[in-house]
Order: sequence, then C-alpha cells, then structure tokens
Amino acid sequence: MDLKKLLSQINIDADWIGLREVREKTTYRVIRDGNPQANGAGTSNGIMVEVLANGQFGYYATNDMSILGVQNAGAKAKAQAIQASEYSLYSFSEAARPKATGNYESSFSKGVGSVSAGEINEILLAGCDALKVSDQIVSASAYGLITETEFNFVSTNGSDVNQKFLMVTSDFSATAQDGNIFQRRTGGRSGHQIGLEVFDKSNIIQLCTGIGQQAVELLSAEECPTGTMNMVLAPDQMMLQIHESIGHPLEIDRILGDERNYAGWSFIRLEDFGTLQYGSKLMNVTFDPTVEHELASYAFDDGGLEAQRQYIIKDGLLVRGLGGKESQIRSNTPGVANFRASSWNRAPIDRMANLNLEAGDSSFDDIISNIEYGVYMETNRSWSIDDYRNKFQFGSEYGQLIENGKLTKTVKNPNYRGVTTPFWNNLKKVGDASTFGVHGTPNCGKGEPNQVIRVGHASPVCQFENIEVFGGV
Amino acid sequence: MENKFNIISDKVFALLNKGEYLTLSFSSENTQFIRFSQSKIRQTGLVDDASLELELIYDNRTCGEAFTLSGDTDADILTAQGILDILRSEVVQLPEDPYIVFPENNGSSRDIHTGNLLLVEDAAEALTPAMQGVDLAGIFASGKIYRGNANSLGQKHWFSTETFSLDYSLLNNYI
Repeated sequence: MDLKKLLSQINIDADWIGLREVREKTTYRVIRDGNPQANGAGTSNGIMVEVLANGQFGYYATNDMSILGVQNAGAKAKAQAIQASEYSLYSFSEAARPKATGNYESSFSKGVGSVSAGEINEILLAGCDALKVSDQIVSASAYGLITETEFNFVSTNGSDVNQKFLMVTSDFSATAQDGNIFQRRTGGRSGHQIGLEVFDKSNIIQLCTGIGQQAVELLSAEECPTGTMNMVLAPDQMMLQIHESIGHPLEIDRILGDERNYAGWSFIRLEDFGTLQYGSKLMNVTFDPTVEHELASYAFDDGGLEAQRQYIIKDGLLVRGLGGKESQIRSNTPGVANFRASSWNRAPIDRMANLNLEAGDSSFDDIISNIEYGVYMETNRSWSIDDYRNKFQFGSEYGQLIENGKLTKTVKNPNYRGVTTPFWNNLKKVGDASTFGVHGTPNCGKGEPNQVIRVGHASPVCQFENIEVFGGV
Repeated sequence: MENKFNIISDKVFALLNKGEYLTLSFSSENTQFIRFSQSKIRQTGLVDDASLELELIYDNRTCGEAFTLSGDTDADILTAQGILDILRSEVVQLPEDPYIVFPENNGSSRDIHTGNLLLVEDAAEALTPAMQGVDLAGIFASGKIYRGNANSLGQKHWFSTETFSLDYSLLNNYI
C-alpha cells in the first residue's frame, strides 16, 4: 500500500497526522506426542491513524484501508483528540513525533517459502521422537512460530519508514515421570529474527536428545540445597532476570504511574536517574536495537524515533530510562526509542525491546573454579515479582551443584529470591563473550487493552554472591 | 456484520469439494478506549477490527488460517477463496490427526444484546470531571463486539453485544 499517496488524499485539518500500517502473518505448527496439535496461520492488516489536535493525540485504528475509510478514521481521531484535550495529561507538540526516514530488514538465510508445511511437520516430529529418550518421558512437544511483519509509517512532517521483520520462535519440551516425581525440561522458548534455517533436522534432533536426557536426569537428582550462597545463572535464566528486574522497573510510563492499574508501578523514582547505584561496578546494561538476530532489533520505534544503542546502566549506575519520546518529554528524563505498539490496532507505549547485559572478562571456567560452594542454574521455569518490580522469587529448570571449584552433580527444583538493587549489587563476576547468549520472547504483556510484544535479552553467564537459594517444597 | 458473515459463509461453503469440512469463525469489534493517568486523559482512540478464520478438515488432517476483513465484502470473499486454496494445498502435506474433531450440526443460535452506551463524543466529558481530587489510573472501554461461527454442515451461531467497562486503580490521598 502506498501510504504517502494515501496521506496526501485525505483531508484533515490537524497539527500533525501519522499513518502506521502493519501487516503481520504468524504461522504456527505444533506437534505433541507424535501427533499434529495445530497447523494454523493468521494475517492481521490495518492502519492506525494518529492525529494531533489541541496538544492531544487521538487514535483511530481501522481495517478499512480505503481512502474513505482512512478519511473517516482521521476525522474521528481528530474529534477524539479535541474532546479529550480539555483533560489532557500533557499537551504535546509535533516534537513528540520526530521526522523519520529509512528502512530496516531482518537478517536471515532461508525465507518463508524455503521449507514447506509438510517438511516442518516432519522435522518437528523427528524432534518429538528424539525427546523420548526413554519410557520415563511421558509427554513430548515441539513447536515452531514463524512471524513475518511489514511496518510502514508516514506523517505530515515528512516521516517515511519501511521495516520488514522475519522472526522464528521454536521450542521443544520433554516431561519425565518417576512415580509422583515430574520434571520438565525445555529448550528455553526463545525467539530470534532469523529465517527458516532454524529448522535444521540434525541440529534439532541433537538438541532434543539432550533435552530428553536432562529431563530424565532430573528425576533422580537431589533437591537443590537451601541457604545463602553463590549462584551462577546461564543466559537463558538471565533473560528473565533482566526482563523483570531491570526492564519493567525502568519503563518510564510505569514510573510515571500510567500502567499502575494493570502492569504495575515501579520502585524507581525519576530522581534515581544519574544517582542510583543499581548494581555492582561490573553491571553494564544497554538498550541495543542493533544486535543481529536479536528479537526486538529495529531502526525506528512506532513514534518515528531512530533506535540507537544506549547505556541504561553504566558501571552499575542508573543513567537512562526505557521511555520513548512522549515519556522523555513528560518526565524530562533521558530515554530510548521504545515507543511501540503490538500491532496496527493499538496505541504505542513504552516497551523494553532489546535490553542486554554487556559481556565482562571472565570465562565460564574462571567463574566456576573460584566458587567453593554454590549452584549453577539454566532455563527459567517460574517467576513471581511484586508490581513495583522489586521483590522477586524465580525458579529454573536445571541446576548443578558447584563444590570446590567444580560442577559436581545435578540438582532439581533450583530457585532463588532477592530484592532488585541488593541483588544486582551482589553481581560478582560477568562472563566474557564466549559465555554470551542471545535470547528473546514474543510474549511480554503490558498495557490496557493488553498488548503482547516481542522483546530480546542477551547476556553472558553471571555469578552472584550471598543469594538466598532454595529447592522444592 | 451478521449479514456480511452470512454472505461470505454461503459463498465459501459453496466452494467445498467432497470430503472437505470447513468451519468459519468471525470476530469483530468497534471499540472506544480512553486511558487515564492522574485522573487525566493519557490516550484516547477507537478501534475497528474484524477477522475471519477458516479451518479445513480433509482426509483426517486439519489446518486453518485467519485474515483481517477489509470492509469490502467482494474483496473479502476473494481473499477467503484464496485462503481455502492455500489450505487445500497444505492439508495434504500434514500428518493425520488421530484426535481430530469433525464438525457437527447440533442446531443454530442467535444472541444479540444491546446496551445503553455513552456516545464516543461524550465519553471524555462524562467521565473525567468525576475523577478530580483523586489519582485514578485505568481504562474506559466501550463498544460493540461480534462473534460468529458456522460450519459446512449447516450449524451457525451469532453473538453480538454492546457493553463497557471502567477499570481503575484509585488513590485518594496521593495528590
């Protein structure tokens, strides 16, 4: 669709108008216990018309993309803005929607048409078979989620952006049983901007065999010990740790109280930026939309702000929030290009996108060999955190005991608890690039009405000291 | 909406071949959303959305696909026909599903609820003055939702409702 032409054909007298078209096709294929559970797809396509009048933005999302449909949407969006402007939370100008021009495209090797529906089913079936390493595997499942998104944005102040994304999330899961003991091991449910090269049969069989073996291994493992000790987290557990205890509390709209009714508030105050020692000196966190293959890489956010790599926490000091242009203007706080909507039919809000912990200089062996006693944990299993994103309790799928500088035996039901800033100030070692893992999830929920959006989190292996660790009850 | 769903359903079901079972699911909304923070309006807008999902069963295999309806019924029928062709080419590639549930005709229904909603142009003025003096964060959602379901054995259900909600967190000693 030629959005620039469409914008020129509508006649709305307003301070600013933007058209944001999203066309997204999601294809999902699920195999459970050797049988197909779902083979489906959905395409969502429409335009969000944004109009600025009297300092207030009005929105109208429409699936009718004809000139008449968009003209009607624009007129009603303007009317909404004017009616609301008497009670505006903030009076914005066009500065909240900077001019943006450019393109973005995901990097991938194999496009969507390169692997057929039948071939993907066959590969997932092979993965499912490989998960069943013994009769103790009572359930095995495999899925692939392929998402193609095209985003176009034009505005009356000259924005013209085209962004194309190809994303794949896949996972494999084995549940093992021995009497009344159940253990589930997965591949971590992670997604990337990547092509269908993900569906490599030999790699998937190898991955699934390991998942199945570890599920069985957990059945006879000892309980994770309870006590205050050293803890080492793998990148696929760090993903959740970063997401919940750095990402959400630093979203500026949460700090402003906007999301209090549903997603929650934040323990962070605006005066903490530039002053709060969030973590130890080893803690360096970036908002980084430039990482190849990370799930939430992009060139511009939905308000037209150019996405750039920025330090959020530098040497442990909180320096910048996760807020788009509107939140930056309202709070007078430095932010990032993260004003994002889940699709054409939602208004953008502050989302965390790619939020990464930068690599340090410790190898995995350096970390483990210097620990007298502790637990190493992989892959998030459970999470609970208060609505200020301060006190938390998280669990992992797979643990290994560290004794006298060595990984000695597998432990089941590894969990830990903490309070956000004391926890991050206990960060003792940060793994080097060889320990770095890039992960992401398509399922971050926030906003009213709810918006499920993609986020990426990359991290090295990290060691924390004096952590309350505990096993299953 | 109901008329559109019926027209598209009739056209698509008429295209089926022997041994094919098809279920259509329709979902649509016309909604106003106003988001409040500090008892003021943070975001305000309207959403018109509609989608149709086709689920095909053939030879003990099944697959489905949904798409956004455009508002142009003729164009939407063509899109549905194209998707039916895609599903036909895909379903034969898939493994048999031993747990497949075939559609039945257990009768049809039509359930329509009307409501006394605020006009979209009146909502901001009707709601916001009452919030002053407290700190309210939340959402007002109001409008119409539609759901339709029909299968190739003749069963059809239609549901629509006009409703609203005002959901909020309120602090009375914050400001």
